Amino acid sequence: MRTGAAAGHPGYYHEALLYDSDDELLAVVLPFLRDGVAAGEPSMVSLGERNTALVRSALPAGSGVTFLDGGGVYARPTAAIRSYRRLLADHAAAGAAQIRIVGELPPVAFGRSWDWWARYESAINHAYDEFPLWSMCPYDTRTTPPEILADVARTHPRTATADGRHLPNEAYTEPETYLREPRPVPPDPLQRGAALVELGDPTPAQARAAVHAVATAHLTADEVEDLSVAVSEAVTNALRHGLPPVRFRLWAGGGRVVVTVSDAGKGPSDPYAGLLPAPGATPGGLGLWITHQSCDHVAMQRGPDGFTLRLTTGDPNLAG
Amino acid sequence: MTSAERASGRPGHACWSYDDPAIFEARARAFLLAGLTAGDRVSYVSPEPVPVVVERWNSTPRLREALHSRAAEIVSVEQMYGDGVLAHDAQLDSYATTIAAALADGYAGWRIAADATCLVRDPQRREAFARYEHLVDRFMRTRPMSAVCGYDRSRLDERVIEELACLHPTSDPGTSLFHLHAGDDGLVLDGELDTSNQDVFATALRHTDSGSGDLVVRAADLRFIDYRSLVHLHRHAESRHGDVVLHTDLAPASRLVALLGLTRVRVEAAG
Repeated sequence: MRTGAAAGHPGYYHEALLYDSDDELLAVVLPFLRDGVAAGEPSMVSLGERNTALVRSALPAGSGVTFLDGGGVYARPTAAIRSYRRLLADHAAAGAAQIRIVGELPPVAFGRSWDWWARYESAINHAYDEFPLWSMCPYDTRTTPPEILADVARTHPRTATADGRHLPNEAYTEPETYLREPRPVPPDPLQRGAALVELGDPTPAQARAAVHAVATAHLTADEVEDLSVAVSEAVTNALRHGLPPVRFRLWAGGGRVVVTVSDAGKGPSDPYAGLLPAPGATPGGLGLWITHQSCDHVAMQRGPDGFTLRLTTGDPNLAG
Repeated sequence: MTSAERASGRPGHACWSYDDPAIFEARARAFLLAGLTAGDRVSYVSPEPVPVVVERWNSTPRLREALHSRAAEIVSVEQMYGDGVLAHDAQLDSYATTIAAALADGYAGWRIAADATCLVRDPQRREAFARYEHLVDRFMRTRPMSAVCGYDRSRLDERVIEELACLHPTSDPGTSLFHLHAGDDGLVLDGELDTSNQDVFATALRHTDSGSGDLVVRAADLRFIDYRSLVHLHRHAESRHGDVVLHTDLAPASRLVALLGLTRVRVEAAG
């Protein structure tokens, strides 16, 4: 039997936690964790360094709460989903009636790569729904931009408050709807300049050759190889599932490489494309899923002229 | 210079494609003349009537002399390979006899250039010949033999040539993005594997199959491999009831294997 606010709820109970002080954060998180431990429910913390220290110091030694090693779980949304699904499956298999997690995205997520984290926050309503999970996602209202808080309200069915309430978010939008909407994707400053390479209807091999020719001067060898994988899959999908013409553009500078692959089609029809593997079910789904795990940011843009996949390797938030 | 060449000091096993038979013959003659200079006995296998070719070759003194001294021979495709589905064992036995005779006559080895186009136009004969391409590749690794196989682009689909070219250690540019050929302890894989040639790769795995158990694939010169080809390696390993041990320094290979749970593929350093 699940305990607490999620008692009787089937599947994933996903809450936002909006706070503007340490006290407000602790007022929600501490009872959430203590009650979970008392009920014998796996209760876990996956917060940044500062908030981890805050919560750890507020709990008694041997509290029974598990502090997940950051370990880069939030480096990429697709990898985070994969890693959490494995964790949840293990606990469910071990007989957990409910699993409690409080987890926050790192500050880097609130920069130019927010669009794919917004997709993450929406997609996990589906991706974790087969597990008896109750999670809270803290957002500091003092530092989180308002447009991001608007996405938070649309991707979290509920908000937990310091006075113990769990309020439904009226703006909440089902992932199948939210994920099909066009996401605003801020252009990378590099895209203001002319592309260093531009190819029309390239083969995957030609696109990879362009990556190797230019990216080697800007990225590590492993980053170049991973970007080659992503580019190869992006071009393959555009050629196989998009509409001509396919255009490949590459920019480099400031320690990163940005590639766009565009075609005249509508892009993937699966709302979870890239975030969840879809072998067999969706054309190109597995390739896009791999692409999302081979770059530091993947943005999907739909417009009147077609679909563009933008791949970034290197820190997407750096200037120039 | 290829790794096979470095190992044996011989040109090894190459695949050429051509549009003009005269160009193939000119390249073959240069290849065979180099063999004569190196002390090899040489054979040229032609789809043309042998006397016609002999007459052409007689106009070149060095070749005329070699034909006269039996250092060189010109044979028809039917004489060399028969007119049915190729019998692999008999073919390789005849090569062993030819090499032994050449060595007994004081030659350093044997090299052959063959226009094999007419042997692969029929699907059944092509299947047998593709398997033969791998078997002869394995055969010549340990023998003083070199071979060139020529295929006519104007009479064969690109895909047909790709399926044959990929089984050679080297092939003309544009014929295949990858090669899968015989190695010291298994197979050697080089080049690039992606969606454009994943089906050809699966076919190549079948043509190079050698029984059951673990399979070592040396891939130090592999420049790219996508998840589709790793899935083919996994399935191939399953069919052999063993593992494929892929030796490559491509970092994504091990990551993709882990992502997709391809438990039959072990990625190890190229070393």
